[in-house]
Amino acid sequence: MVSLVMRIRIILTSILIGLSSFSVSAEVAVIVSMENPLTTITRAQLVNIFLGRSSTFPGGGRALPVDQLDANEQRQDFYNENVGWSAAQLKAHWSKIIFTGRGQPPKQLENDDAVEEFILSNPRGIGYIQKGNASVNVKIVDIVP
Amino acid sequence: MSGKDTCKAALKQLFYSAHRVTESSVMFPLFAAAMMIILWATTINLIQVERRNAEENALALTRELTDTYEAQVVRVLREITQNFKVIQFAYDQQDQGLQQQQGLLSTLDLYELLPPAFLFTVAIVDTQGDVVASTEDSTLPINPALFQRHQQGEPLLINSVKPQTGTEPFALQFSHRIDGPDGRFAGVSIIDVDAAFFVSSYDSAKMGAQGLLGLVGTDGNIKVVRQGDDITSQQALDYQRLMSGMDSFETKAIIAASPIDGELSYLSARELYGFSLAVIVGLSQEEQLKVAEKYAETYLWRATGANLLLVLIIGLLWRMSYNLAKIRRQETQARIVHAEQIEYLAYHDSLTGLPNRSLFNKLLSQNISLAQRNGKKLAMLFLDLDHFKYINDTLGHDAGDQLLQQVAERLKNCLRDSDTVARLGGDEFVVMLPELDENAFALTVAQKIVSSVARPFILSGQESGVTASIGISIYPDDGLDEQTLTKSADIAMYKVKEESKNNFQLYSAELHEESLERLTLESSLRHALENKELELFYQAKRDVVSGKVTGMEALLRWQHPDLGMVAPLRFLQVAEDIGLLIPIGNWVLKTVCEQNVSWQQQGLPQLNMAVNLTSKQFFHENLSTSIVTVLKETGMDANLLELEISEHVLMQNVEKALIVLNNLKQIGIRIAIDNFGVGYSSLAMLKQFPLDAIKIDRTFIRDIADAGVDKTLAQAIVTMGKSLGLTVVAQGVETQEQADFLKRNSCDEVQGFYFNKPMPAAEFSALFKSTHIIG
Repeated sequence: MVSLVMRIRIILTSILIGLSSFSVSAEVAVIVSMENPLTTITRAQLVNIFLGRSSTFPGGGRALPVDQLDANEQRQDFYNENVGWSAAQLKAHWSKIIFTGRGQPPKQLENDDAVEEFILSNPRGIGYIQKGNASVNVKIVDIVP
Repeated sequence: MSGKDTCKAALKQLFYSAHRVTESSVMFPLFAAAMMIILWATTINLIQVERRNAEENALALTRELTDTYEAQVVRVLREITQNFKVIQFAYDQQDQGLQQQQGLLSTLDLYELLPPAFLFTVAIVDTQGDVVASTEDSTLPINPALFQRHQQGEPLLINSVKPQTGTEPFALQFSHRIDGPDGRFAGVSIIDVDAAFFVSSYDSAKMGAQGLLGLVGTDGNIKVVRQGDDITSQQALDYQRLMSGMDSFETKAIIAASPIDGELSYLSARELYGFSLAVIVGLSQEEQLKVAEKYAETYLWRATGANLLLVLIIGLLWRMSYNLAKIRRQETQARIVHAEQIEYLAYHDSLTGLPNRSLFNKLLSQNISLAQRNGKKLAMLFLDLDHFKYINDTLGHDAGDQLLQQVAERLKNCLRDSDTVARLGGDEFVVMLPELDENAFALTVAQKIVSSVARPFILSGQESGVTASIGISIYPDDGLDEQTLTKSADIAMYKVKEESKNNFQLYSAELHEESLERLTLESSLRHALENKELELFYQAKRDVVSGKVTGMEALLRWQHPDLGMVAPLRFLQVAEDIGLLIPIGNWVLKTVCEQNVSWQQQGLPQLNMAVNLTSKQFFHENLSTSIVTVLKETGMDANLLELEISEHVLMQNVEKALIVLNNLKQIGIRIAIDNFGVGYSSLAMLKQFPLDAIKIDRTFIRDIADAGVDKTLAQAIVTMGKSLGLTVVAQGVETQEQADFLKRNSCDEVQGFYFNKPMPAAEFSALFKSTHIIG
């Protein structure tokens, strides 16, 4: 026999889970410097910057993207949500660019703090951290489809 | 034929042929064929050009790709070489041993002197072969054999490493010797990278799915090769063979079998400067030419389409021109028919369909010329219908027309195919009889026509009648040209119209009479025998001394019911013409023999019976046989029958006459040569012929009465006859004086009016009986 409280708990949890799955917002947040005028960016523009196809922000100015380490969950989340490629695909993509001398992959930083640190010291920087980890010193950019 | 003529003829033939060629029926297909040939030739040419272009382009592309790839590979290799140099440099700067190398790598990493960690793994191996530092946790070990080579001094080695597990990709391992301070072996630095990295620039847009991109060692060992999406390593290829087709200075592309899969490809390879490697680029011919093939296909389809269209259009045009020609032909045909119709109408009477005056005049001239040439006669019959006006007035013009049509029909039925009847107008007709032999025939036709027209006609249900008046003129008797003949016929016709109507008349009266008579004789003679109109008269022959009747000559008489007694002279020729001579001759013989036998039975003594023979009878092949038959049938004595043959008949064919005479003599009958003295016989002939009697022609006897030369001639003949042993008979004795003379001159027998005229059998027997009693 299931008690009423138990039932309510189960229901609430389900709703929460359901709500969370409805949310458009990602696990990671894209952050830029406060000095950066950028506020919104389309997914396509974002991907181009991180895949080396574009080296400037939509509004203008050089962009300095930074990745996290291969193993980091934030990295995987970021690429899964926005690019949808497997690791092998990413590798092949960067192989071509590096081999033909047309670009460099973004620098790989250790963790969220390292990313924030980079952004603070590099106004042109753009990176991703776990949602909620963003301090008030950095600006979160909205991703529009 | 001279050469010039043959040339001319040949040229003419050529021009004619050329003219024929320009006829649309030949032009169109020729033109179509020419167009089609041009179309296909152009298309094929285009296809060839496309193919060649595509090939050129492929070769150029191959060269391009090779140059680019070479540059890219060399750049990466130099970077890696640089990395090794940096590691060496860093190592040289520090004093510590290799144990601190991890720090070395970290430092280098900080300075961003290492290749991107994303793809490259850097590691350092100590003199023992153990990995002492690495950018990655797991590193690929170095092959001991290679380690040894570094130990022995080789600075740089590049080789492909098979993955440890099945899922790991191929790696290319670059290893470099690290030199210690005094050049001693201090270890090996390693840079690993996915082999795929080196072929990551493969652009399927340019290279297709069967393109070739690869790195191969100068020993022929393939470091990495990519074909489409397939990346493989460590095969072997014939390096010398590959490079034999290449040029070290200018990039060259050749068409050869791919060293990987053997397919025909556009290949290019270049040995890298400073490294024992070569780059190899290849494009599949099949793939590259596919586009050209596609174009070729399109062109071919287009050409086919165009051809079909052409054929269609030409076909339509041809059809149209053919139809046009057909219509033109039909029009021409119609025009010809129309012209013919007009001509027909111009030359023919519309009511009766008979030729009209114009055509008749034409035909008349033609036939007169023909008759002149062939020596034949021509008859023209002018025909007028009597009382025609009366019919027209009483029964109307329609009836009149009907009558004319029916008359025309009847006229046609009276004629042969070669004859012509024409309508001159109104109720006037004219008939032309060409190829005329006998005038009498014209009369026969005229009679036919008169009778035919005289038969009643049925017009508008009523019976009525007309008659015809016909005037006849004969060429050449009545005229030699159209006008004269026409006038003569016209005059003759008018005479008929004046006199009796419903009759016919020859222009020349004499001719008319003659012809009429002839006609009459002919028709009568046919029945004369049946009707017993023929009779034999007998004229006695008397012995000159005793005066006794020794025999008689049988003379043929014809008692014509209308014409009276017709002399043989007149009807014997007619008999011969209508083929009655022989039958009549046979009848004569028979009758004579029968008569003789009958008389003997009556008690009369044996009397000699003489029968005249005409030339035709004499030379007839059946003469002897028919005589034998008659003698047998009648039972008459052969030696009582005497045949009288005129001198001139025997002279016609002396040789044959001799044969016939001999045959006749065999039978036992007597032969007399008649009308002697006026022919061309000679004594020699006379001697030859087996004759019994000689009858002197009456002309000699007639002149005996007169004083003069002929007397002696007659004498001479008598003497000659007697000397030949023949019975001499004198013909045509009419006076006493003649009789006395002959008696004096020893003629044997006499015959003539003086003594007896020819008389019928009954009279003769009566006479004989009486004279016999007396004399």
